[in-house]
Amino acid sequence: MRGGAGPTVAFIAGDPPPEAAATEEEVEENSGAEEEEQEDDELELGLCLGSKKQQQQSPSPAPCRILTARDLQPGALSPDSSVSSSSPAAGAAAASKRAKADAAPNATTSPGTVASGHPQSSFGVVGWPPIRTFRMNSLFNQVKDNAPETGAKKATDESDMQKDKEESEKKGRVVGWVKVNMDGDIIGRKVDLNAHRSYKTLASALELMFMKPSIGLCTSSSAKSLNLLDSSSEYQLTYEDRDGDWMLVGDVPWE
Amino acid sequence: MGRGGSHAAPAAASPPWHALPDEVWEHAFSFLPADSDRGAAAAACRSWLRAERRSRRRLVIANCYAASPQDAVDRFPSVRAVEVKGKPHFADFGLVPPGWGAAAAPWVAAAADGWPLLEELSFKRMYVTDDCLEMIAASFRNFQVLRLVSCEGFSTSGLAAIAAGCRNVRELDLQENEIEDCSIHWLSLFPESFTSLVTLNFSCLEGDVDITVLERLVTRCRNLKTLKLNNAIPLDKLASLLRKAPQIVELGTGRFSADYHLDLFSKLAAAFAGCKSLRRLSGAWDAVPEYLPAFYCVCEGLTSLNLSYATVRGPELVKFISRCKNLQLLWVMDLIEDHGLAAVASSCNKLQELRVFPSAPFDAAEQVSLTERGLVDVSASCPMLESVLYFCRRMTNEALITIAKNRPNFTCFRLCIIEPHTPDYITHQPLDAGFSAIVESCKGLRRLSVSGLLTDRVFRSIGAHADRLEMLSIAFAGNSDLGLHYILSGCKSLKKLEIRDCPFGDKPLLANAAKLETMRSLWMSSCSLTLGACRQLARKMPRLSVEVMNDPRRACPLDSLTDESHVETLYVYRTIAGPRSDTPACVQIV
Repeated sequence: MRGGAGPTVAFIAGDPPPEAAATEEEVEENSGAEEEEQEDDELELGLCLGSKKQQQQSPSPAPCRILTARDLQPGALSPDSSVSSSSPAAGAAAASKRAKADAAPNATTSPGTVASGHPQSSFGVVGWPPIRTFRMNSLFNQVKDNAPETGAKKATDESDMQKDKEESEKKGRVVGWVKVNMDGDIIGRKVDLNAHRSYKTLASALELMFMKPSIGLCTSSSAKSLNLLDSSSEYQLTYEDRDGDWMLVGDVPWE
Repeated sequence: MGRGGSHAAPAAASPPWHALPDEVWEHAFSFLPADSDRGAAAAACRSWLRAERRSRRRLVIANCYAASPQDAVDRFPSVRAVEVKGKPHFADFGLVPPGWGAAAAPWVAAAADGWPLLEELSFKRMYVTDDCLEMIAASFRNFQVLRLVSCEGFSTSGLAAIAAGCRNVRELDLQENEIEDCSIHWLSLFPESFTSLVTLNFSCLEGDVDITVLERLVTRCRNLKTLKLNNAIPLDKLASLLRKAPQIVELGTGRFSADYHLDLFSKLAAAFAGCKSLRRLSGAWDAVPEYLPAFYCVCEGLTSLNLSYATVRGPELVKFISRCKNLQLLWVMDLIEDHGLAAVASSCNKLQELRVFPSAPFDAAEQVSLTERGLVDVSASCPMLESVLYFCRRMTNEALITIAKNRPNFTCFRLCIIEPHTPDYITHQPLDAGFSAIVESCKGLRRLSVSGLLTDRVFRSIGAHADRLEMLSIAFAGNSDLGLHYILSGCKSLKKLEIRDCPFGDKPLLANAAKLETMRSLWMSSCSLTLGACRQLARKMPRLSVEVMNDPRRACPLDSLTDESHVETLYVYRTIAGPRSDTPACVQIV
C-alpha cells in the first residue's frame, strides 16, 4: 500500500519530543505574523509584512509591488478588459514567462474588479494546459493516425529511408515512431511516420506540435508558418540516416 | 496510553506497559495501517521509536532528496517494500529539464546492500537505467513487485534482465514510462517454468511484442489478474489472448481499431463474454465505435473504465458507458460532451472518480460541447463522487457554488479551464466566489487545482478554510503578494504547493519561511522572485534545500548574479540529507 499520508523519513528525526515542540513553535510564529494584519483594507495597503525597511533595501523594480492607495482607482477596469492585458509588455509577453503585475498601474484588489497585467495569449508557454507529456505524445500521434490507415504496415517502410531524426533510437522499424527535437525546445516529440503520406502532412503535423501558438489563436495576424520544407525559412527539417549523416528532408521521394 | 498500572494491580501482574519488550510493540504497530500513524507512534518515545522503525515493512520516500538512501536503510532495516518519488510534479508538463536528477541508482545500490530481502520496489518520476534493472534482478532473491511510473532512462534490455533474473516476480507494472525499444524480445526471457505473474502492464511500450510468446506466457500464468497491452497488439490478437486468460480482472486493450468485420466482432464479443471477472478496463486507443458493443457483456461488472485515450465520440460511446451501472471510476475525453455526462450522471450513480481530458487542448475555438454543465450534472446525481479532474473551456461561479453545495464530500477537486485568466463567462467576474464555495463546503478536501481568473480573495478563502488541504496547484492567478501569504499562513495541512505564472514575490516567502519546513516541497516558476530572497531563505532555514533554475538550457552562474536578479524557477524542499550533489549545470543550490 502506498500509505495514505506516508511521511517522508524526514519526519522522524532523532529526538521526537523536542522536534514536536519545535514545529509547534514555528506554527505559532506564523499565526503571530498574521495577527499583525488587522482588517481587510489595511491588509492590502499594509502588506509589507512588517518590513518597510526591506522594501527600501531592494530598490529594484520588484515586479510585485506593494499596492498603495494610488492603485486603488475606482472603477478602473471594465469587465470586458479583464482578460486583455493593458500592459505595454503584452506584445513580448507571449515569449516571456514573467508575470507582469508591475506593468499594470491600474490593477486593483477591490473585490469585484479584476486583475490584469498578464499576457493575453498564453499558449506560447511551456507546460500549459497541464497535460502530461506522455499523454500529449500519445494524443497527437493518435490524431494523425486517424487518417485512413488500414491495418497492414506497408513494405515501403523498410526501404533505405531510415528516417531517424535526432537521437534516433532503434525503434521498431515497422512501427515508424520517430523522435523529433526542435532547436531550443527541451521537449522532444514523437511522430508516427506511418501516419503520413507525404512530406507536406509530416511537416504540418510537426508544425502543429512545435508551434502551438500559431494555431489561429485570437490574433488576426496570419500564419507564422514555419515552412519547414522551404529552404529559405527559419527552421530546417533534417534527419540522420543510417550512416549517421545529416540530410535535408525532402530530397528523396517519400516512399 | 498511561494505564496507570501502579494502581489496582492484580496479583499475577504483567510488566508495566512501559517495560514491555519490543516484540510486543512491534506486534501492536503492525495493526497500524497508515504510515502516518506509525510515524506518530514512533514520535512518542524512544522505545516506541526503536520498536517501530525496526519492524517497519513498507516505506514511502515521497521526495528522494529528503533523505539519503543510506539514511533510509539505516533507520528501517527490515523494509520489504519501498516507494521512492523523484522529480516535482510539474516535471510531467515539461517544466523540468532532462538530466535534472532523481536518479534511482543510489537507491537501488543502497537497497541491494541493506535490504537483501526486498520484495517490492516502486519508482515514480525518476531516472531509472538498465543498470538499475540489472542490479535489481541480481540483488534481491525474493523480488516480487516492480512498479515504474513516469520514469525514463531504461530500455527493453533492462526489462529483459528482470524477466530473466527475477524468479518470483509477481507484478511488472510499467505506467507511462519512456522506454527505449532495443528490439530485444524481453518477453521471451521469462523462463518456461515461470508462472508466477499476477500483473503485467506494458501499455507504454512502443515497440512490437512477440504475440506467440505473450500468449504462451499468459497461458501458463494461471494467476494473471492484470494484463495491460500496448498499442502494437492488434484487435484480433486481443480475442485470442482473452480466451487464454478468462480469469482476468483488469485489462488494458491496446489498439482497438480495425475495419469492421463481423467475424472479428463476434470473436471479440465471445472472448469478452468469457471474462466473468473483468472489473477494470483501459486502453482502447483509437477505439472504433462499431466495436464497442463487443464490450457490452462486461459492462455490468465494470467498476473502472479508462477511455482517456479513446478518441471515440458519438452515441455508441454514451450507450456503452451508460450500461456500466456499477462504475466507480471513469476517465474519458471531452468528446463525451455535456449530454454524454448527463447520461453518465443518471446511469452511473456509484461514481467516485471522474476525469475528463481535453481532446484538442491547443485549439482556440471550442470543438466539443463540454462545459460546466457536465460537471454540474454529474456532481448532482452521483452522491459518492469525491475526486474530479475536469478540463473545460468555460465555467461560472454559480456552477461551482452548486457543485460545492451538492458534493461536500470532495477530497480531490482539480479544475482546469484551458485558457488562463478566463472569468465567469456570464458575469465576467473572477471565479473567486466559486472556488471559495468549494473549499468552504468540502471540509475533507485534500487536493485542489484552481484555474480561470482569480484574485487574491480566493486565496484568502483557501488559506482560511482548507484545513485538510495537502496539495495545491495554482497557475496564472492572484494579483499580489497577499495571495501567497494567505496560503502560506493558512492551510494547516499543506504539504505540496506548486505555483506558476503568478505575481507572487519575495515577501510572503520570507515571512512564511518556517512554514516551508512543515511542507514537503514548494515549486514556484515564472513568478516574481529575486535571488536575494532565495539566498535569505536558504540562510534562514538550513534544513531546507533551495534550488534555483533560470534557463534550463544554460548553466546557472549563481555567483555572478546579484540579489536583484530574477529567479525563474524555485524549488524548495525540506531535507535531512543536505544539498544534493547531482544537480545539472542549470540548477544551483543556494
